[in-house]
Amino acid sequence: MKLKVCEVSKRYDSKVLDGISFEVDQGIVGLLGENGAGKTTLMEIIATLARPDTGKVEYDGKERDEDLYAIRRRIGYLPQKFDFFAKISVEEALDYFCRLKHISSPEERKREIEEKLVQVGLIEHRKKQFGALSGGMKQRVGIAQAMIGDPALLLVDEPTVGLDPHERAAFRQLLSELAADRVVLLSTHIVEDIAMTSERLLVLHEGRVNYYGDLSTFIRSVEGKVWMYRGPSVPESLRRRPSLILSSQATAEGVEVRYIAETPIERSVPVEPTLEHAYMYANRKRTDYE
Amino acid sequence: MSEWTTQLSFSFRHLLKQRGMLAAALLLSTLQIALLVSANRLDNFADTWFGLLHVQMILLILLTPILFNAVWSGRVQVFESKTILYYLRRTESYFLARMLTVWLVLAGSVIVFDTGFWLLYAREADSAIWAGAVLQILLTVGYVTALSGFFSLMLRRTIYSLLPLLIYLLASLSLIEHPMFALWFSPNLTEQVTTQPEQIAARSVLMIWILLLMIVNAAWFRRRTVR
Repeated sequence: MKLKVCEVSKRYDSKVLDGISFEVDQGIVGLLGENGAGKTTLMEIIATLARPDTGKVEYDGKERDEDLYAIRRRIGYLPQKFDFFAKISVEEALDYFCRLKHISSPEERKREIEEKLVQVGLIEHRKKQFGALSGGMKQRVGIAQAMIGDPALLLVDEPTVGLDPHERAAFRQLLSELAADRVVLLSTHIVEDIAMTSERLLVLHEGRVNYYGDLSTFIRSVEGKVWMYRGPSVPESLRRRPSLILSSQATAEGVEVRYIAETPIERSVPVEPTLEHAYMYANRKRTDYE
Repeated sequence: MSEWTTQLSFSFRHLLKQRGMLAAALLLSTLQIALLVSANRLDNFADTWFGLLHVQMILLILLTPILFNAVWSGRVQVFESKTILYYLRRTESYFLARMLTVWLVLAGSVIVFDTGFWLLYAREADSAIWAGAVLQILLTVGYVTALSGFFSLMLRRTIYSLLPLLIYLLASLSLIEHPMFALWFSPNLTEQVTTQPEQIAARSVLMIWILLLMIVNAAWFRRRTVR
């Protein structure tokens, strides 16, 4: 599916999104931003759950009002904190989602449910009640329901929140597999999730696009700007502008501080930048850095 | 498969999963049959039948919102809105199916038990009494279910609907006493409403209230859920 977001703006009490534009036709796009940056609102607009005040979203050239339910059937949506009725089994839940997505033949439903359960690694737990599943398993049911009907666009909103490290790793692997033949939009504020899965990145800051493009270019944008200082204490110049500090930890000699700057302070050495450094640089440059 | 059949079949499945609650509801409303039989109070079957219906209806009126609460909390949860209603062209089918299911399961199972009791012990009793009781069960449970749906939307918690229903029931028993408007009646009126044609006709007006409430509920739910 070719997804085209054109100049989308949305206001609730205050402006949440301001002129968001981007296009994608395959692979995972990581949607990164701090809490309140507008990620969930953007996901809801793309999912057709909310309307933009201005701008439009096109799905293979069609807008939501042209054929809303046909578009929805091509979208799989995993909302934040997916939940379901506690006493319904995994299999029964997926059967219901199959029916909701107009898969009417019992054989087809059975095949679809088995395929998705294998895909998300829940085939052994098909008879378990939803309420008896762990957080990670519930998220897997969430992704399975989103995948039913093989949607061309998969929207996943903060899918790894509350998962343990093993579950998170497995979930990222699953998303990478699913992105082979569709568009996956992964919204998160966990930088690591994006670093491990996405080819492209959309960084939101206060409702605006701060960056859209591939990950490596984004990371290269802070090359030569990330430094590590080792000394007895945090230097005064950094203390005055704490938002330049990326990390700080106590060592036997004093402190080790990673920070962003055009020119380093004394006793600093350059550091290989990461996605997290680039992200922090991108979302802070408007306030402190410049 | 239409949205309606999908919602009805899932609502049935969901309701039947509440086994403990269903068992308690059915036990409470049918326990008296066992008590009546064991106490050998079947000499005057018609009196026993009306007494049974009277107690059953009061229990059912109070049990209906409790059972309805098991399948509809009164608030649309995020997952319902974003993963279920999302695909429905007529979101009200989701809500109406739950009301219909509670109505049919509760009224249907009591009718089955009562019919069994009738077949075993009625002997020469007029079968019009049985038919009148079945009609009363269907109409009254339907009315209470539709009211529970209305109050659940109004109060945003289904279980809270128990309070206005209790007040309505007490007012019905002591003040209203009219087949067209009362939730249920004092024991004296139970026999008349079940057997006298003009009282049955007046009571059948409940079907109009049920339909009106269902239409209002459907519109209200749709207004709350369509985006």
